[in-house]
Amino acid sequence: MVLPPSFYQDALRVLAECNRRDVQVAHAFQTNGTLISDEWCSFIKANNVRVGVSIDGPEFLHDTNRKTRSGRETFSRVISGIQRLRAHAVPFHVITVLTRASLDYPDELFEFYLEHGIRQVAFNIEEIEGIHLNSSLNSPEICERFGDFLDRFYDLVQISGEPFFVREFAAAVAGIMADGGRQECFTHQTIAMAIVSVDCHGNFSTWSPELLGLRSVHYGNFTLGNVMTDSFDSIFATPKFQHLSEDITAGVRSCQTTCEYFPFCGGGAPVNKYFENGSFRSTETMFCRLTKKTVFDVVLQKLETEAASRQAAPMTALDGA
Amino acid sequence: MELERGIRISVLPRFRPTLLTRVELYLNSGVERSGSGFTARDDWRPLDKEELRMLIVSEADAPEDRSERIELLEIPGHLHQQWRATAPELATRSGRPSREYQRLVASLASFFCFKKVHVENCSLTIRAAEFPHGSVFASLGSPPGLKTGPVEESPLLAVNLGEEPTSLIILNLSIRRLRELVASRGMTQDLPDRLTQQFMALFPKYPLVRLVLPARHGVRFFPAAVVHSGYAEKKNELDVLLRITGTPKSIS
Repeated sequence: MVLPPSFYQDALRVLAECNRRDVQVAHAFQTNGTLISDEWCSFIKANNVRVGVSIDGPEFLHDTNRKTRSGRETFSRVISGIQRLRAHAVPFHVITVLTRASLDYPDELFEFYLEHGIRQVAFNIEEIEGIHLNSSLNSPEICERFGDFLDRFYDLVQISGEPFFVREFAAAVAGIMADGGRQECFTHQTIAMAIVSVDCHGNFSTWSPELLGLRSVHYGNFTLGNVMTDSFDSIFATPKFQHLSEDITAGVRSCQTTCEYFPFCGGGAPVNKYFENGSFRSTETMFCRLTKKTVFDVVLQKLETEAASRQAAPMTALDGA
Repeated sequence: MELERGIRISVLPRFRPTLLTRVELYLNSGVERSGSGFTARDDWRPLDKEELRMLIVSEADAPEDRSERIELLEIPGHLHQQWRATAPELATRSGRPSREYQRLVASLASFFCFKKVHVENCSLTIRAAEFPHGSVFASLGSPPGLKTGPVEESPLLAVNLGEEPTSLIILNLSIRRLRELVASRGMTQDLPDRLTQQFMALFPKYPLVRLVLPARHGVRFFPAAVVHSGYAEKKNELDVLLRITGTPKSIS
């Protein structure tokens, strides 16, 4: 949102003019929320843009890590942005990055979301990626605490009776219900060109979106081409693409042969494999332990418990009449 | 007499740190005789920065001996709402706790267990003051007023379930320090309650600390180790506290 809405209005106009095949295009912004204005709200509504706001919970959690370049806190500005969205009746979701500190506060997080009209949440975790060489979640006891957090948050959502969407829970339920587990899911991050990421200079990449902005000792940068000079098709023959594709595919195959969660996960996130383990060919990461395995286990246990209690419920007068 | 560094106020681990930065504290000019005991003078004033530094401490710097801490906590709004829904029925019902009350107790226990405040073998009760402007903190035990509590009720976790703030009044000196001060006047040290009376008779101007607990806010402390009372003078409603005490009993 550093550029004004008028820039994007022009961009959308150009996109519409170029869309000769009438492809359905959906637009989405993920914003830190500090620059949301009335003008932005009008633009978002008029163009049906999906909006995500990054906020890590109540002030004492959010301002621990979300600061401006000069070190100033941002919570009050983000909340103002959210209030503006609500005043304009703009639907939005939030992304909350969970750290070790967050895990003690599921009740506080849930109440915060309710208080501010937040009803769609996606939980990211503090990842190890690029220059972020470690994570507060990278320790052996964290899986249990993470599971306890999810378990409690799940209960809070159920108890509240409020319509409340949690991306992780929904994905887990969908994965569990997918043909009784016989259907394997896939992740776009492991399939070449399923996701195409383009930066402001026209450089593009694929697989995990984060790769576009990162560098490595093995591959240099992960840029595969530039839209000004290269077609998407042209990258398939390049040595860089082939090298990356081989390594990422090998990693997926290793996951497939070694991990019981593969039907739910589809082979992990390449960017996490590389930056946590040093290789795309690797398998388990902190990211998948927490956001796939632990989430899956918690939700599965909840569904099984719910199913068991429904089975055990006493018959009413109407049953079996 | 001026406030000394003694019992400190911190936040119970895994509860939000802002409870400490937003805590409301007052100091008075000591005690006055009331019947057979002593009560706090009602001339409360805000603390200055130095006094705050003496009382408030981060969890990392809090005394290792938990009996020398008053730890702040807060229950979430949904539990308070659950209490509100249950309260009217408790006012009229007698006998076996209702299913709603048992659910409330289970919800509270679940919350505290998540926060690693294990209450499985503790006694959980909800107590209301017997009359308006009365404080549950003050009314427990005999005589009423400033005193220590029974050992078997330590630690005590108390939460304000009302809609209006209530207050905990404390003498921020440990029992050990009371003995030293009483001994410095050539008196013998006695059982904690009589020691308290001796101290107050000898040092009536030592200031007391009043800690305001808004709705849903609470404290965990060791009543046997802290001379304390309560304050609910300005309340319109009856003082109501959730009390979880350390005695291993079934939850009721």
